[in-house]
Amino acid sequence: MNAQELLQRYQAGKTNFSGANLSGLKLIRADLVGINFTGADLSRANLILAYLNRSVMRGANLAHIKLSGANLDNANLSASNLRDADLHGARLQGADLRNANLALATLTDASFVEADLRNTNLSGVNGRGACLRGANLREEKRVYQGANLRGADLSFADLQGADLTGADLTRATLTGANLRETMLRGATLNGANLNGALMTKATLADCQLVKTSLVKANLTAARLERACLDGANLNGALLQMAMLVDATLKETTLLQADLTYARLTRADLSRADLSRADLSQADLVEAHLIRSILKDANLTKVLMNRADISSANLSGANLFCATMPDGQIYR
Amino acid sequence: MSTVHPQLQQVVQQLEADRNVTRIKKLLLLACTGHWESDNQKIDLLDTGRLVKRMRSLCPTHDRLTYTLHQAAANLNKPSVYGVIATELCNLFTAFYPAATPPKVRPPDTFPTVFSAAPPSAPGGEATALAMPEAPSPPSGPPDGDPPHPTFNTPLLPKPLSAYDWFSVRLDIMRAANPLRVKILSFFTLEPQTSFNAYTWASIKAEMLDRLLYRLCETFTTIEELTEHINATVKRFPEVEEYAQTADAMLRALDRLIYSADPGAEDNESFGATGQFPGFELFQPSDDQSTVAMAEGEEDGGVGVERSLFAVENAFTRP
Repeated sequence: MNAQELLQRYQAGKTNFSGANLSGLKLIRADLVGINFTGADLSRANLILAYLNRSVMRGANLAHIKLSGANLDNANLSASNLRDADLHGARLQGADLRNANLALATLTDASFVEADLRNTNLSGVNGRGACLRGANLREEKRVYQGANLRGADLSFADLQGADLTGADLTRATLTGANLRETMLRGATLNGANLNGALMTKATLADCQLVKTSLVKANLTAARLERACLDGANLNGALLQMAMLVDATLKETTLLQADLTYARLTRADLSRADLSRADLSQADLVEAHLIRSILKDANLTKVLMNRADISSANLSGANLFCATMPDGQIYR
Repeated sequence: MSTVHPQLQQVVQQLEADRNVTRIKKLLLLACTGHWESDNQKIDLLDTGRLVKRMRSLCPTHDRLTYTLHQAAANLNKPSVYGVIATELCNLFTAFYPAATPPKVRPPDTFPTVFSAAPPSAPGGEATALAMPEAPSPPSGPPDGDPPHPTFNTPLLPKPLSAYDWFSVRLDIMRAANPLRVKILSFFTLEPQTSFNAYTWASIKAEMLDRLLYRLCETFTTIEELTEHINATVKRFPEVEEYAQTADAMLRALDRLIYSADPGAEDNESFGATGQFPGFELFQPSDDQSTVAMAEGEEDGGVGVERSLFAVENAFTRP
């Protein structure tokens, strides 16, 4: 079937093209609203700026397809193969992409607002500037695995309010991304680059953030309970009022980080470098500060009851009114 | 550069790790000296750091840098390949240029005319111009095709552009318009003399939407001025209705969230793509797979670019 034939049939009222072989077809700007391409082969087809709202492409082969600027709002793309697809500037608002394979796809400036992306493979995608506000990528036990975003480039992407519970973001790039109020509980972000990311009130409890780069990230009031941040780089990060209870921050660098009012109860800060960090009024009760470096740090009114600071380097630190491990107030 | 920028080493390392490092160095050398070196061995011996420093010292503003790099790329026989590299270099070098805040009114003689040069030729008729029934002629712009620039009597925005929540702006526009059309419309409003070819398509693809929106607000300091220029651009497209709808969504959002926004409203955290987010100087844009792949595709017979290009060109020129 060629493109003209397809368009004629569609205009005549036929919308079901399930299982059709449409590989390599050119349907630029075509109006195919509500079309059914279930199980069809549209690999390498060209549908730039096409109207595919509410279309059904369940299980379709869409590898290498060009959908740049296409409108796929509320389309059903579940279990489709979108490997290496070009979705630059496409609209996929409210689209169903569950179990789809988008590995290595181009998603720059695409809109996935409130899209369902559970159990999608987004590894290696180029998603710079993509908008995923309110998108659902969460893991659901025994039903959906967390989304696979390993090595994805989501620089400056907007993930505010998205649910990424259990997602795998190993070595992903999220530089300057908007992750405000994003749910990342139990997600893996080892080796990821989150420099300058906006993560205010994000939930990162139980996250793996080993050797993650969070330089100058804004984690104000973020929830990081039990998170593992070993070897992470948090230089200049804003962690005011952040919840780091029971978190491990072994060998983490926190140079000039702002940890005012942060809760670090029972946190493991062994060998962490907190030089010139601001920890005023932070809660370090029962924290482990074994061989940690607190040179020139601001520890004003910090609570360190029962904390292990015996081998910490406190040279030049300001301990004004700090509660020391023995409960005494430092004068 | 009079002083060594703290991020210089980082940029140099990133450039040297790029698989296109030879092309990057060739382009930088050409832009700095006007000399084209085709001997890769000689290129390998060049010090990337010195090239970067030289480029920075030659271009006191980011606009000048953009102009210089794109001008150099446009004169090569693979303009789209080097255009993409130029765009990526411009993005990377943003770290060396402090943000211009508040938006500055630039004298015409320093305004870049990046795309005012004749469109670069490319295989397969890539340089074919769009069927533009009515070329816009900005009333306040200088003659001979220079892009429009802010007039001196327009009021400046009440706070630096970087202080606005650009994520919200983008979301607002994306909810109501097609992101690709927004990018195309923004691009041609900013570069009204440009025809549609592989080079511009690659530039549109490489430049993020929010960056284009930021540039629009930087260039047009009032909503009236922006409206006038966007509406003129809309008329250039065969699909006037679709672009008029796009323009309407853009103008509504930009007016509400930028031009008429309450200056006293609480500032949001500054935004990434404008180069103002905390720690921007540490930003290391990763290798843009799509654009690199596209450039390579073209080199290997023009598959990637030409298909995309012809597709979009067909879309625009279709009666």
